[in-house]
Amino acid sequence: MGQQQTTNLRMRSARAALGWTQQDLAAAIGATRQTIGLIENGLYNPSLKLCLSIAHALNKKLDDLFWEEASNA
Amino acid sequence: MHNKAKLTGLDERGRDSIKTIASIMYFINLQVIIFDVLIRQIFLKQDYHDFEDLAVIIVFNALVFLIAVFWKGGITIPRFNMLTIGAVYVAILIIGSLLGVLIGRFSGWGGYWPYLGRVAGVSAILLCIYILAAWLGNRRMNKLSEEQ
Repeated sequence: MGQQQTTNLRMRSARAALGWTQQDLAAAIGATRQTIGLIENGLYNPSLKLCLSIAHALNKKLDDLFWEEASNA
Repeated sequence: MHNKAKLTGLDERGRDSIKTIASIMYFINLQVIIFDVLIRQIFLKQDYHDFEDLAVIIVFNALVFLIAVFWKGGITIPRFNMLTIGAVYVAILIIGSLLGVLIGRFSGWGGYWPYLGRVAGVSAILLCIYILAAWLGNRRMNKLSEEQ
């Protein structure tokens, strides 16, 4: 199962729906803006702990933001 | 929800990057020191006391690094196989003997046997320390990973 780097549009749109900038989300979860940008661009693979922080901050479930079907993962 | 380290203010990506770079730089530095010692010993024919401090740093690093890896469970050794341990010990002795001949730090074959004795003794002590660290590390990992 190869690691494919894809843009995380679901995370980006969930953040935009709240009217948050990357900086706002970063401040909410205690990360840097660059880290949020890299996650959204599929260039950084966050830990489960960070994924949970993001999901909580955006009022979403983990699956809503990060789940990928096996064929795409 | 706070993912930044209290002291440094780095988030997990920053810490990951630094860990990766630090690991790579650690190995590069160690290899450079080893290379430097070999050059001084083989080509420049310097006296051991001229690079004794560097040799101590190399031994200390190798010793502490492997012990830490075993203790942290980086390399999990489920069961000790005496045959494998014996083979490793013999391999160390052969490499040590060959290096001794290559470097020629003893005067004549009369000085070779005491040298080989030191190689055998130090290797045995180091191997025992590693086995102990691996055993303790394995026991620690088993305890931590037990079902609650």
